[in-house]
This record gives sequence, structure tokens and C-alpha cells, in this order.
Amino acid sequence: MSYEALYAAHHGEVLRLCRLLLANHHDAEEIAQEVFLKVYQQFQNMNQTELMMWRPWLIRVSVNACRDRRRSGWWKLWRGTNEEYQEANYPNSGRTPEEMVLSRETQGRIWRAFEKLSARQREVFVLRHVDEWSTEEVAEMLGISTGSVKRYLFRAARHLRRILGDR
Amino acid sequence: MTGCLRDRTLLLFYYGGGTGAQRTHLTECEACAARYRQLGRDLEAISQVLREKPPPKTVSHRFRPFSARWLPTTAALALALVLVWVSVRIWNPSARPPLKGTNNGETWSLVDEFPSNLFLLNEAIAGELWTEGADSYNLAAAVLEAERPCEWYDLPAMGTAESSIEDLEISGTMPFATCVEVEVNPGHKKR
Repeated sequence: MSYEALYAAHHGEVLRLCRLLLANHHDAEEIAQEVFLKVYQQFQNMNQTELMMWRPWLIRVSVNACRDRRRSGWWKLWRGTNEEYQEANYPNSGRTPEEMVLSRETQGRIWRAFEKLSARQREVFVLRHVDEWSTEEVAEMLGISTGSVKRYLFRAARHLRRILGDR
Repeated sequence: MTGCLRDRTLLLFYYGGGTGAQRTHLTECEACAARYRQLGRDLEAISQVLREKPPPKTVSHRFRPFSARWLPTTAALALALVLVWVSVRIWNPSARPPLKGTNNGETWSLVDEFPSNLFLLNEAIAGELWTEGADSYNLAAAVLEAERPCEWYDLPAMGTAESSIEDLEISGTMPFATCVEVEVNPGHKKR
């Protein structure tokens, strides 16, 4: 697999993961670039016959890079916590106006609730539900036990589901 | 098992928790099974929302220097600044404030000098008190032993006449005397 093919196959996924973990599109793009720079360096150093499971490696590197960015003091300082989603820009999927309004409100609430999750809960929820990794794979990628993954998932899901319960 | 499962139990069950009895209940109770399916749909709906590109935000990267989480850092910084300021004021004489109506440099140099002279004189007096014949000559000698060259003045005649140490020795009477320190010139021969 060439580097270009690897980039084409996984860049979107890495960018989405970073965007979800950092909740900032510009930071997510920066981190995704850093991750693919590491991919390129890794690619240069690799034996061409060597098989590599790129996807788990990419996810692990991306999660760590996002974690580093979140820990950065300046990022904490400048990261706006008062950002509000513009509900008018939500995608509608051919729903009725009433459904669209309800949907926009609900989606906005989901995003806001998601941003209130702890960093670890976010990581676990995204990997398990959005990227659809198994609990064991998530545990391996994050270097924690499956029991911890389940605990984080339980708390995150309970918090997010309350939002839907308020519909 | 009686009674339906709570939402939190259903969620635990969804992530692989729960007991055998709860599993049995879930297969037998249609209401709980329906709620369990709804839970799965809710989580899928949430995941679907998160998979989509998030709507743009009204950007407000506000700088909030006085938020509570910065309070300890700010307090520590302020304390450090105060400590630095205090240490500079104490250890650097040139940074001391001028005394009212005085030349600052001269005043502080006198203040710096004063205690050491005072202690030398005190030592001399103390030494004299413990020797016999507490006359003024011995007092003068004790002061001289402290190797502080000075000129001697009779206090009663202060301001009218000066007398050298030899004069005082001849007269033999010096009820009170004071020693005013003078600069040592190169030609002055110490005892």
C-alpha cells in the first residue's frame, strides 16, 4: 500500500476522530497533519515487505496527539468554552419542518452534551460507537482494561441518553 | 424475577454487564425488550449525529483571565512578585525609600554604620566595668583597644575646646568623655 493510498483511505477518519476529541476543526486539521507526517516517517523507515495494521496504529497515534494537544496549557487557555452551535446550519434529510426543528434542537443538545463528557469518556464513546471498534479493541488501543472501557461507556451513554430522554 | 429492569441496568446489560436473572427477564418481558431495543436505537442515533460534520459554531475564543481555575496560578504569581519586591527592598540599600528631608545615600550609609560603632563602644565600656579603677583613662584605653581611631572630647567642654589623649592623661580628670571616630590617615601611627 502506498502512502497516498493510505492517506486517501484514512485521512477522513483521522480528521473526524480529532475533531470529535478536540471539538475544534482547526486544531483537528493540525493534528491530522501531524499524524500523517508521523505516518510518512514511519512509512519511510518500514521494510516494504513488512505488514502493518495501519488503522489501529493511526487511531492510537491520533488519540495520543489529541491528548497532548488538550494538555497543552495554551490550548486550555484559548480553547473557547462558550462556543454555541448554529442550529440553522444542521443538515436536514428531507424531513418535515417540524421534524427538522426538533431534530436541530436535539442534535444541538447532543453535541453540547458530548462536549461536556470527560476526555476519556469521549475517546471511548467515539471509538466504540462512532468508529465501531469492539470493547476489547478500544481497551487495547487506549491501554486500559475492558472493565474501564465499559465503565466509561456506561457513564458517557447515560449522560448522552438523558438528552434524548428530554425530547 | 419481579419488576422491570431499570434504564441503568439495561445500559449495563448493553455493555456486557448484568446477571443471568436479568438476561432471563429481558428475554421474557416484552416491555423491557422494547426498551432495550430503544436504547440501542438511541445510541445509534447519537453516533450518527456525531458522525456527521458538526455545525459551525459562533466562535467566541474568549480570554477569561479571572476564571476560577486560574486563581491559584495568579495567587502564586502575585505572592512570588511580592516576595521578590520585599527581598530587593531589604537587601539592596539603594532601593530603600529616601528619609524625609535627607540625602538618601548619606542617611542610609549612616544607618548602616551606626550599629557596628555602637557595639564596639559597648564592648569597650563593658570591658572597662569589669576592670579595676574605672576611670576615664581606662575607658579611653579600652576604646582604643578596639582599634577605632578617634578624637576625644570632654563633654563639659564640648563645643568649646578639643583635647588630645595626652592632655587628658596629664589632667587626669575626665568625668565623661566621648570618642568621635575619625578617618585613619596614612601617617597615623596606631598603638
